[in-house]
Amino acid sequence: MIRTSIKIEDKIGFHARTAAIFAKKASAFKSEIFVKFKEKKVNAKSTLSLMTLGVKSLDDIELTVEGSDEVHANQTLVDLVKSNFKN
Amino acid sequence: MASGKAKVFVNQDNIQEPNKKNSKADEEIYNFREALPIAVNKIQVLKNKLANNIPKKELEIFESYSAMINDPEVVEKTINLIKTQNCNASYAYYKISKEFIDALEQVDDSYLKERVEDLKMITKMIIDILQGNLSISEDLDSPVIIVAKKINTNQLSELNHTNLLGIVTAKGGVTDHASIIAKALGIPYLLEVKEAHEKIKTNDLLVIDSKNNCVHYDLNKKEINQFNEQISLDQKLMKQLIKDAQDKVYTKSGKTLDILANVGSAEDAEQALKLGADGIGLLRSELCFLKCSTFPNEKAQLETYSEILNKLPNKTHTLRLLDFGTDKKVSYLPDLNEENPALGQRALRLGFSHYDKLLKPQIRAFLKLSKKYKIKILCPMIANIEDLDKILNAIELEYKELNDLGENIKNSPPIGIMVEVPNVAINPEDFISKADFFSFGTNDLAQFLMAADRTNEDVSKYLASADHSLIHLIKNFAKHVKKQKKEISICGELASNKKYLTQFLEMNLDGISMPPNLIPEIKAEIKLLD
Repeated sequence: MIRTSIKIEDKIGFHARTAAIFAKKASAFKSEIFVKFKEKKVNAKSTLSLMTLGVKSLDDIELTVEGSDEVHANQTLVDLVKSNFKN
Repeated sequence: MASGKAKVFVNQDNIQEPNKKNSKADEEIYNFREALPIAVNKIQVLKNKLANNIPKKELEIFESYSAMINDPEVVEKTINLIKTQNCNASYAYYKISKEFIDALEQVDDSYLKERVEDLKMITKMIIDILQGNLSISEDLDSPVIIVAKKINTNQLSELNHTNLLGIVTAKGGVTDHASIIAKALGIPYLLEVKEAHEKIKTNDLLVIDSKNNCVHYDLNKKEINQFNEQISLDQKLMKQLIKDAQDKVYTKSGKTLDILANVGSAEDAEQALKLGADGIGLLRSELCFLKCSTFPNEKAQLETYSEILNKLPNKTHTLRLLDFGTDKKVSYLPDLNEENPALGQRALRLGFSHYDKLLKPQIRAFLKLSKKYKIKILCPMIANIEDLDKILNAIELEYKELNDLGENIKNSPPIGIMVEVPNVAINPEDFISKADFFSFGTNDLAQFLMAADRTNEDVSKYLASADHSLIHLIKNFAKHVKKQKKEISICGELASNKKYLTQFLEMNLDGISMPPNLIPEIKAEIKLLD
């Protein structure tokens, strides 16, 4: 299991578009992936669940990845956030 | 005439919690899974529609709509709820989606709060799909008279016709397709009843008085009984007429013509058989498409048409190639957003622009049918010789290809054209040698002759004044057709106008095609003529 803390730099945060992009990327992996924010932990493959976290710009989220492709999944998602969801 | 309880349809924007019903979990899960791609498809159509009008960046929101529809948490939780409670999919989906709507409303972020509206729209869309309605959001589980501001073809074709006693709308034109379909189904339809949907309340007892073209909604029991007696008397008379209509009819001097049925479904064909049609004069094949959520393939079409033709397997039937456009829209074709759809990309024009998906499978299905049934292929919206050549070539090509594949179709069926574009109606000579038969589409021809949109109630009154010109054109056309010993018939409103029966017989028309329920009366009328 890999646990990483990342800062959301996008100027709005985890809104509909960014959440959809993030969930789509996450869905491509077999691993179980969760995002934790303010004591709430949700399935990272679910756009709606990510949206309900209410993550704003400059908030820190905790990413948890567990499964056979966890290293690749973790790296891909961290890169996605760092690139401001540019893919 | 019809009497019954009113049901007022309001096109609601708010989502109402669907009733919880005990259901088979497997079926409901299947229905739920089927509904999702339909919703994604609808979003795609909506996106295409807006593509030209809003900035590209704004369109990105549609990507997240698709993600919301297929959200794994929502899908999984909905399926679990269906399984554990054995309930209907619409209820389960509503419950789960509502959790997310509530959660999003709690988020302290103005941008995300706006997304709540998006999720509500999607939720309503999926519930509508699951419940099998477009904007009408309830099933008809008991006999009712529908009262609405307006009803469109899609909505009407989705309704359960066995429980539909009648329709009253505040708007709508006599020749729009919803009213044509209602007429074909024998459902009393009263339109342009001002403010009907506001004045009449659900469960009011109504009487549609077709003879006086009005609706009563404030009658006492005694008056209602009088109407009901009248209705049952009419029904007895109709029974006798139907009995007399089962054979081919002749005038006193022995003249005759085929009295054919306009048909859009197996239900219609069943009616046609019962009411004594001499065949199907116009199979509106596009109505088979309206109920589908994707392009129906060749096999699906073959099945649909076979089901219809099987009702009257021994008669000769005229199958018209698809005529979409104007008020007949389907979700799986992009909305063209045309200024004048009646004059735009419709019928074969549209068919050729999506040839492999639309026209090809249909032509092939028709050709295959011709092995088993006596059919004729009718081509809509032919405007010039190039149009005719193009479709003749296409059919010829498919015929050869099918035979190369071993289909063994002996003779290609007769191919005829609709006479509905003035350019054709005025110049019979140009077309007679090339087509095998001719069918006057008087509704479209009337709207083109009068420059009056038949779906626009403000101008549709003009269509009534086209009769004189229509008769003139048909008479002239028939004269030329008969010289070449080919067949000519009429479909459209004019065909069922008793006033012109004598003239139709004099013109030596081969047939007139009309809604099945009008056939017994017309046949009775012919017997009275000299």
